Amino acid sequence: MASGESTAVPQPIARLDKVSKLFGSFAALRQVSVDLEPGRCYVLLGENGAGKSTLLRILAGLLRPSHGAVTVFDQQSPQEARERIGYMSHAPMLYDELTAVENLRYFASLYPGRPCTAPEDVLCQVGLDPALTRTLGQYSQGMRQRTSLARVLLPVPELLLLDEPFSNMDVESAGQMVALLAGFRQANRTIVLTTHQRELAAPIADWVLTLHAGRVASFEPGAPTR
Amino acid sequence: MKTNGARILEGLGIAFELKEYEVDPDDLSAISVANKVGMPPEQVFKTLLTTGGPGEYVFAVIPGDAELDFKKLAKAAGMRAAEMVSLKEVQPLTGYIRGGVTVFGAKKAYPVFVDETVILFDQISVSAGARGTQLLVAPDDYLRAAEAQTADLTKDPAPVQSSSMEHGKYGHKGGRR
Repeated sequence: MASGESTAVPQPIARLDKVSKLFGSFAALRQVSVDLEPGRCYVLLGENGAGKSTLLRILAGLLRPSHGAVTVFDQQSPQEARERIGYMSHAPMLYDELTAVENLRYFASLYPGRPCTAPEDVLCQVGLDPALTRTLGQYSQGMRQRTSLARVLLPVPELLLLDEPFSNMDVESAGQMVALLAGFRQANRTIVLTTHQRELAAPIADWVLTLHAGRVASFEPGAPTR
Repeated sequence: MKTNGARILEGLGIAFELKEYEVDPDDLSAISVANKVGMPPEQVFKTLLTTGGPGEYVFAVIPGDAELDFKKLAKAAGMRAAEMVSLKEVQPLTGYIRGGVTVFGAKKAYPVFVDETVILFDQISVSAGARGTQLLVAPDDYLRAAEAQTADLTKDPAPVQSSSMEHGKYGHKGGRR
């Protein structure tokens, strides 16, 4: 390292400290400790039931840990920082009877007093034509996923939590999604996503965290395409 | 040294390991024991005898680095309140001296409540029934042998400030490349 080069480690955007989540006598997460740096993409891997979605939901503030501590954005709880966090669940949470623009207008109305990107603009961001008059029920899975992502992006979150964003997508649609996420990462947004398809996320994965039975089995650097 | 606890587990066909350590009579804390047996304190469970009133006794087994929440224990055990048994009563009631109390082979089979975090680990350490000897056993086996119930029994820790937090000791920390 050259003399005088900064060695400062950026302040983590989120920190989990020995986080455990118990559902009765089932331990979904066991003492997970992770720091998330800004502008990085973290890919969560693991078999079904490994704790990926639980971890995401705790970061999103939708679940509270049974034990341990979670802080985001300079010591806030996820609940306090909800407006800076975007969470895309495995289920689409969109209305099939509405068009994409109508869906987004509705969801934007749920954030009164908060600056939201215009629905038309956010649809363009995710590569969808806002002029489409088809209802969501007639969309392909890839288009639905991108609309879901657009919904998450409406209030301009800094931390994106995506539960299986490539689910049921063909390779081409998944590639489009990856390209979108690469752009957000370049814009210094932090992404945490779960997937069963490691190879799809590889081009944007700064870190790959594998969970097994609620524990961190490995935490390895990825090899993202720059 | 084979202790009562070890004999009872053997009788049940439960696998365990005995670990001996040097006793410091001035420091019988679970944290100290954890350091000596080389396990994180949250995996070294301490056995506390509590009372809900005359003739009502309950064992609470909690992580070495945690503090018992008496309200939570009382609720779990169906008692109006709970408090520690005085030190001088421990041996007459259990047959074991402080620092060597185990739920196994106590004078009476008092109900046992174990903190719910016990299931987070592959192995826990509990006193074997004598100072200087710990039993290392799988949580499920311990719960079965002790006929114990699990519940949230500990006080929530105070929020930790990031600047002073020792992090990554047992976990994982993303680093900049």
